[in-house]
Amino acid sequence: MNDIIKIEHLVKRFEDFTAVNDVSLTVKDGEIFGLLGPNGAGKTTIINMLLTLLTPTSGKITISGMDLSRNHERVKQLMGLMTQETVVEADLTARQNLSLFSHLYHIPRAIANKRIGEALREADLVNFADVKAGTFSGGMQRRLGLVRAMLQEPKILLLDEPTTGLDVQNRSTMWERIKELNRSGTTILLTTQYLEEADELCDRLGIIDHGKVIALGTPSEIKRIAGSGKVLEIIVNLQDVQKVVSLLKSRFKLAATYHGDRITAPLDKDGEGEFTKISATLERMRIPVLSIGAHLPTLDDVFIKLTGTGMRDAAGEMRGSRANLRWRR
Amino acid sequence: MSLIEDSITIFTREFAIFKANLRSNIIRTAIFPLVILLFFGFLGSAITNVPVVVVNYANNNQASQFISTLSSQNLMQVQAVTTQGAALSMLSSGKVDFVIVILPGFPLQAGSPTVQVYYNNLEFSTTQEILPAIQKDAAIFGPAINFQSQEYLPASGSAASAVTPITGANGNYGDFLFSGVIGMIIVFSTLFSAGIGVLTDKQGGQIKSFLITPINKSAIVLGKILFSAVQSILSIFIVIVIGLLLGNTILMGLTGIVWILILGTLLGITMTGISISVASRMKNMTAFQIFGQTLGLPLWFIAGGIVPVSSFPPILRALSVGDPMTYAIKGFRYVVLQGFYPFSSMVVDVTVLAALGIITTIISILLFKSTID
Repeated sequence: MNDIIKIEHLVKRFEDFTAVNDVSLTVKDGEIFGLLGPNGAGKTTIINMLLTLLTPTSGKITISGMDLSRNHERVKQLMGLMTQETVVEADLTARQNLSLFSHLYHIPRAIANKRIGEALREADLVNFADVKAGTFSGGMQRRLGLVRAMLQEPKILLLDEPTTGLDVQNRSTMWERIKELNRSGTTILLTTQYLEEADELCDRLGIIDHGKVIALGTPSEIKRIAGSGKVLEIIVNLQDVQKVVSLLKSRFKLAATYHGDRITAPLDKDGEGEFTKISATLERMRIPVLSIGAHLPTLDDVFIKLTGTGMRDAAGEMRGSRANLRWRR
Repeated sequence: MSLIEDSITIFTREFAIFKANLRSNIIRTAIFPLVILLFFGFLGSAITNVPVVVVNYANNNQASQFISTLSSQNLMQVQAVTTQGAALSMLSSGKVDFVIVILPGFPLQAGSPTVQVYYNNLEFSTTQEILPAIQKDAAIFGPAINFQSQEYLPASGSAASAVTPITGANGNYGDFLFSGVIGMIIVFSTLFSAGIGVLTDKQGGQIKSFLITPINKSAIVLGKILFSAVQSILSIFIVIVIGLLLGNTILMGLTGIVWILILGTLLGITMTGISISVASRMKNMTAFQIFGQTLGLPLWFIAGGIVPVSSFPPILRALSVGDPMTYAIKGFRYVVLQGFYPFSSMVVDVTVLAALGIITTIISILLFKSTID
C-alpha cells in the first residue's frame, strides 16, 4: 500500500512552547490511522498543519505525493475534516449547510444536488432538511458535520475527536459510519483520547504525548509493549501503595507502577504462578487488598507504562474517560 | 473568475444568515433612527428667545416702536447697545446670533438701507425664521423699507473648507438630524456588525472550515464586504421610510435617494474594511465592541451628524476633514436640505469615499489571515 500521508520531522513551536516535537509518521492508503493522546498532546496541532491552517516551524508533509507547502488548493480537494466542535452553520438549514460547502468545494451544480440528497439520506436528516441546524441535537449535528465533510468525496478524512461528548448510542453509530466510509475506500486519520475507540477502529495508531510520538504500530503490536503476559492489577488503601510497590519490585522483581490507589505490573508469560504467591504474601503482611486480578494488556496499560505514573493529571477530561474505561472493563 | 464566484458564495452565506434572523435584524436597524428622530427630531421646530442685539442710530419714535414690536414676541430676546462695533463683537463671540442696526434714516431714506441685519448662521434653522420676522416687523413702518441682511464672518475668516450647508427651505432640525442619522445607521450596520461577524465566525470555527476548502481567502473578505454593502442599502431604506413617516423631507426627491444610496454604500464599504481589518487581528469580542464604540460615536459627532461642523472649534473641524463620514453626511445634507448637489462637492465626496473604500478593502484583505497561528 502507498503512503497517502507522509509526515517527516514535523515541528511546531508557539513562542516558547513546543506543541509538536519532531514527529515522523506515515498513513497508508485505505487504512484507519489513530493519533491517541491526552488533551494538549499535540494531536490537533498536527491535524491543523495537515489542513494548512498552521504553518510548520520545520519538517515536511507530503500528501498523495504532493508537497503540502506547494500544492495547497489541490491537496485541499483531497481532504475532508470533521472536528469535535461540530461546526455547522446554526442559522442555516441542513440543506443550506450542505449547499454552502458544495459551492466552497466548487462541485458542479447538477452533481452537488444529487450528492446533497444522498448526504441528507445518509445522515438520516431527510425530514429535517429545511430545519435550522442550530436546533439539532448534538448527534444530529455531528451526523450533518460528517456528511458535509464527505461532500467533495475526499480521499482522506480527518476526524478530530469525532466522538468526544457523544452518548454511547451515538458513539457506536458514529463508529459504524467511520468503518463504512473506510470500507468504501476513504483513508481515515482520527485523533482520540479514548483508548477503546483507538482499539476498536484503528488499523494502526501512534501514541502521542508532549508533542512526541512515543509508540507506533498496530493495536496488538502496541499492547505487546505492556508485556507479553497478563497485567497484574492490585488496588489497596492509599497509605499502603508505596509498601506494595516496593515489595513487588524487590521480592518479585516486577516493574510495578502506580496511579492513585491502583498498582499495575506486567507479569511474565509464565508468571501466572506468581499471582497466587503475591496474594498470599499480601495476606500474610496483613495489607488489606481491595481488589486483585490480572487481565490481558490494554492500551491503558501501554500508556501507563510509556508515560510513567499515568497520563498527565492536567487533562481533567482524560481522567474522567479513564474512570469510565475502568468501570466498563 | 473563481474569486468572484467564491465571493458570491460567501455573500450568499452571509445573506442567508441575515435572512434567517430577518425580523430581529430589521428591528435592530429601525429602533435607533426611530428613537433618535422621534425624541430629538422636533427640537428646532419652535424657536423662542433667540438672543438679538439692537443698535439704535435713528433715535426716533418709529425706531422705538420697531424695537418694542421686536421684543413683544417670544421669538427674540432683545437687548440694546450703543455702537455697532460693540454689537458685532457680541455676535462674533457668540453672545448673540443677530445684530440689528437701525440707521439714522429710519424708517425711510431713499437710496441707502435703513435697517441692517448681521447674523452668524450657526443655529440650524433660526436664520430662516428670524430674518423674515424682522423684515415683517420693519415693514409696518413702510412697505418699501430698505432692508439689508448679510452673514457676518469674523475677520479671521474661518469659513473653513468643510462647512456643512445647513440652509434649507423648511430647514428644521428634524431634517438636519435625519441626514445625520442615515450616516449613523450605516456605521452601526457595518463598523459593528462586520467585525463582530468575523469574530463570531472565528470563535465558532466557521472561518477555519472555510479556510480548509479550496476557495481564495480574499473571497471570504470580499464576500463579507459585498454583503455589508447590501446591508447598508437595506438600512438606508429603513431609515428613509422611518424619516418620511415622521414627516422629514428629502428636497431632491428620488434622485436624492439615489445619491444617498451611492454615498451610503461607499461609506458602508469603507467602514466594513476598517471593521474587518481590526477584527482580523483581534481575538476578543469585548475588546472589539469597545473599539467600535470608541470609534463609531466620535466619527458620527465629528462628521456633524448631530451638530453642524460650522459650529465646531478649529481642532474638531480639522479632524472632520479626515472622517470618512463627513463626506457622506455633507452629501446627504445637500440632498435632504438644499435640494441640489453642487457638482464640485459631489466630485470631492464621491472620489474621497470611493478611494477610501478601495484602500480599506485592500488593507482588510492583506490583514485577514489564511492560517490560525
